[in-house]
Amino acid sequence: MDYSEQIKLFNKVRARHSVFLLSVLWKLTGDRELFSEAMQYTLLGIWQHIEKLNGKKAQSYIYRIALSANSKAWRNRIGRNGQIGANLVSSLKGPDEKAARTERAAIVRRAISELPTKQARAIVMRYLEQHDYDAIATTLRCSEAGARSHVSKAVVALRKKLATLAKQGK
Amino acid sequence: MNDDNIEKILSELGSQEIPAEVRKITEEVSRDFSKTLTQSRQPKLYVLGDYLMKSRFTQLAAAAVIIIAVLLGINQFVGRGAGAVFASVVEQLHNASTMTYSVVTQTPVESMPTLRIEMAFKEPGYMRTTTPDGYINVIDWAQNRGISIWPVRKQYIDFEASNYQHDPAKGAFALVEGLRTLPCQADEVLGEKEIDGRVLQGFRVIEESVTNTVWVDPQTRQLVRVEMEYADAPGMNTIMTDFQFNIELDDSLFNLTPPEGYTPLEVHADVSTVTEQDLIDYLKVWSTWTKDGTFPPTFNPIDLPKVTAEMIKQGEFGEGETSEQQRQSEAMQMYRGIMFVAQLPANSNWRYAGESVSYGDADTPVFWYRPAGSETYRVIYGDLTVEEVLPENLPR
Repeated sequence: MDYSEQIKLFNKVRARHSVFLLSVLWKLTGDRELFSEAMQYTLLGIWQHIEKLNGKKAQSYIYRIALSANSKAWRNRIGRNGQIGANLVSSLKGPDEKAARTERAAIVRRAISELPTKQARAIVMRYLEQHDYDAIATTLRCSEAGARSHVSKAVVALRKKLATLAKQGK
Repeated sequence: MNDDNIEKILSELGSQEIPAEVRKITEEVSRDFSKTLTQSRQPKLYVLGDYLMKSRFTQLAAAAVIIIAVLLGINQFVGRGAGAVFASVVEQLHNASTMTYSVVTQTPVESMPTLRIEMAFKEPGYMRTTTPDGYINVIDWAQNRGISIWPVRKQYIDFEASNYQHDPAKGAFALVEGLRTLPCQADEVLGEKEIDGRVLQGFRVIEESVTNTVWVDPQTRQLVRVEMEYADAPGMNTIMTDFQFNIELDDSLFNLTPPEGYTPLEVHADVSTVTEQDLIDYLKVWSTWTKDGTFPPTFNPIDLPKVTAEMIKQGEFGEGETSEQQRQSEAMQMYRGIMFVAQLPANSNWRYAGESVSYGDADTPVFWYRPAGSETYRVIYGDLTVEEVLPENLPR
């Protein structure tokens, strides 16, 4: 495949998955800057792996790339000291219930970005995209019981992470 | 936060509307990204610049990226596996004055990107490699000189190629002779297969730990595709395609003069004289760059540039000022240290285990190898002392 063909394929793949990427990355980030960053990393990932994205496994790769990009964007935002950037926190905090909900959502999103890939994918498919377990099992190439297990483990892992974060006051 | 709320919060995330502004951001990001691909062949991330520091360590780490790019280019000529395939291609080249092809290397490791290199050859010994990231390497074997160009940073390295393996009696060029009659010497004839709409004749040639699958157009007898698999690296493969012979390649493509406005990073090391001490010095130098005094995270030539860039972004290199002379000296030390490892033969069984090990850790082995003809291994520890160790006592 020459360079122009690669670009054509890239644009085709991007167009085919744009709705999915827009939806999932926004739900995972909930912040415009973070979203922009995650989207850029995703596009870079698609470009770097474009040779692998022309077959039946494309959707699977796209998932991995998007989740990896989301984690990377969150890592950049959180910083080496483990704190969410002050600008993000200040924009979330507020006296009313809506602000509190937004803050909780941000904490959950951050916790998702730190989940192992398979668990993150299971939780995204189940809750953010509202797929049934049969579809999750097909995508994760496991049994329906296995899919339920991945989701369940992810929820447990999220609870633990959130408890830790709550203790740390982040 | 109440545990019972988690699933509720997750469900709320799933039902969120996407603001029109976010759709607009998506369009802009996509358009800008595609534009950089079309205009400069260099995908640009607008988020990354904020994290780059202008310290000497960042500059040296950046130099590492260039140096590795040089090594990657050179390995296309003399590396064992690549050399074998290169040789099979050169078999057709014997009657050609120019040749171009693409090399794509993939690994099963998600964090390691697919590596694509465009190769061009022109008699009497010009070679040029280009990567989608913009790295360009040109070698003129007649002059034994080369240049590595990094357009993104407007930097280049002049290097001498005289010390690399380029002996027609051995290395890659001996394989050329061995593969001149490749189909007759194939270990296995695979028969015909349709690839990309063409019916091709396949042959399998196994050389030590590398399995080459060669696809030839039976009508034109032209080499179309070569696939390489590595017994030592399951899941990794290299595919060479897009072969073109005797096409017009302008001499300017092989010009060793740096582009105007580019700054040099001189590398005139005589790598035939590199020693274990060069490796030790490199490890020491690197540990002074990192904030936590750790050694390089990897010696993998494909992984190191990516990991280094990530370390720069994460602020893992310290800040400090130094002279241009010292920068050059440390970059040179790095180059020599890497070349020492690059030139170790396969049967030296070298291993690197220095990731996350800090300088001064006298109990942890970071590198070991068996010198030619030796019964024992040389083991370098975290305090950079060296001991002779019997094979059965090597670290597990």
